[in-house]
Amino acid sequence: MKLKKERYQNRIELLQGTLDLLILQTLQWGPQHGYGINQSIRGRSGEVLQVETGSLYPALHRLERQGWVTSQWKQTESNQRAKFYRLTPAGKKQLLSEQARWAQIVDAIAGIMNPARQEGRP
Amino acid sequence: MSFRDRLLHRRQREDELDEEVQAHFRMAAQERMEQGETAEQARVSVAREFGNVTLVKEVTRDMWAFRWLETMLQDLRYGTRMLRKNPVFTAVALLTLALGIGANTAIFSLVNSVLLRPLAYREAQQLYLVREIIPELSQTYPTLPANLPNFLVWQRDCHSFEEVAIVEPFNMTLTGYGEAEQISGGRASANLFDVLGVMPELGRTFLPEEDTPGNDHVVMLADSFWRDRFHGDRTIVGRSITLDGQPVQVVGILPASFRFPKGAQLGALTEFPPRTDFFKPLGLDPKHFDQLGQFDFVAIARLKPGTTARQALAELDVIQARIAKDANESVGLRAAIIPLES
Repeated sequence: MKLKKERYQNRIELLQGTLDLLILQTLQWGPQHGYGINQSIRGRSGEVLQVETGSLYPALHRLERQGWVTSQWKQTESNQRAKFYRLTPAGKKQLLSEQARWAQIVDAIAGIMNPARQEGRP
Repeated sequence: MSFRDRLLHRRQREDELDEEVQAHFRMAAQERMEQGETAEQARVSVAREFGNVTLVKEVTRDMWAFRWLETMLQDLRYGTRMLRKNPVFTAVALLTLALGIGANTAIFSLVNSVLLRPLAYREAQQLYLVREIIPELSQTYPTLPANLPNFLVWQRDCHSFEEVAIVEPFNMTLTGYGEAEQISGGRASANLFDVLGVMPELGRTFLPEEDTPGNDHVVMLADSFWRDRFHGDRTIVGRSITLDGQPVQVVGILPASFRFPKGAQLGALTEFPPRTDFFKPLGLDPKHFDQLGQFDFVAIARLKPGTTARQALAELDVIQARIAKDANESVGLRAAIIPLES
């Protein structure tokens, strides 16, 4: 039990940053509940990225604690009661900085993967 | 937020998390059913997909723990701010705490020194009261206090004693320092504090030569008396005060922990008053004392290490018998040895 829990937490650590970015990015289109966020990430990534619930919910609660998202109980389109998360102004700022950081990482990794292109630059 | 509110709040969050997870299950199952799965198939698939529900909840709840701590820090910051804003309240609260703690400490110190450590003397188990026995008088007085000439013989001849001292209750009148006052204390052989193993808080104890008549115009003051009457003035040491119309030099102050046995604690016929404000040396001429009279003194002996009370008594009884024989009196003389701490 203990070991399993640690494994979950490790996974969060690995995904942290990236998962935050994905969640914040998803929420910029409007409020969404946990399941909706999960489905959205899966759909937009062409079924490649699947967020574990054991990572998703802790991340959502942490983001709420950090003040980047707020939550509210609302009815879904199919008339289900669900907890909807919404981006706060602070969350929007955070999203921008995470996007910038992501672009940096992508650039850096691309530079490593494709040295020719890097050398070709002035 | 009070502790109770916080518990309620946490309880509410637990319920919300349950509901959030259930909502996820329902939505996922519904979507699967819309895609053609049976209710049962959907339920199984969603459960497999979701993973360990208890674990997910547990890891999620861990995220709140930080919150818990943060709220506490916030409370603490708020508390500090309020204390700073209300200096009077803060001062009263601090004073209350200080007095409470102080009173407890004071009471403990008192209990410790008065009750738990009745006699704060060095190696008090080695200290014995020496009493004299005149068998012819033992019907009326089983034991008697010591007398001066016999004490001098013990001091000279008894090898079981490391040292022996005598002291008797003594009153004097203090004048020239505010209102005249009769003060009670003790007149002691110069070595009393050596025998008891008490070091002065200030100044010194008595010198051997101060036991002799004319050299005895020195005094040691009890801590409480020094504080009450002389306001704890440290410069009093070395100065003279007037006792019984004579200038007497204050040579030392006894430590606050010093207690002298009161009442009949030192045996019948030697009643020390409740307060012993001072001690002065004997300053007595043994020539003025009868060999078998004036049994007025408390004698306190410190036994040599390794010597038992029984051995000391055996030796002392031999000395006593010799004294009685030399005095050529028709009475016998023996001794008794009683632990001081009994």
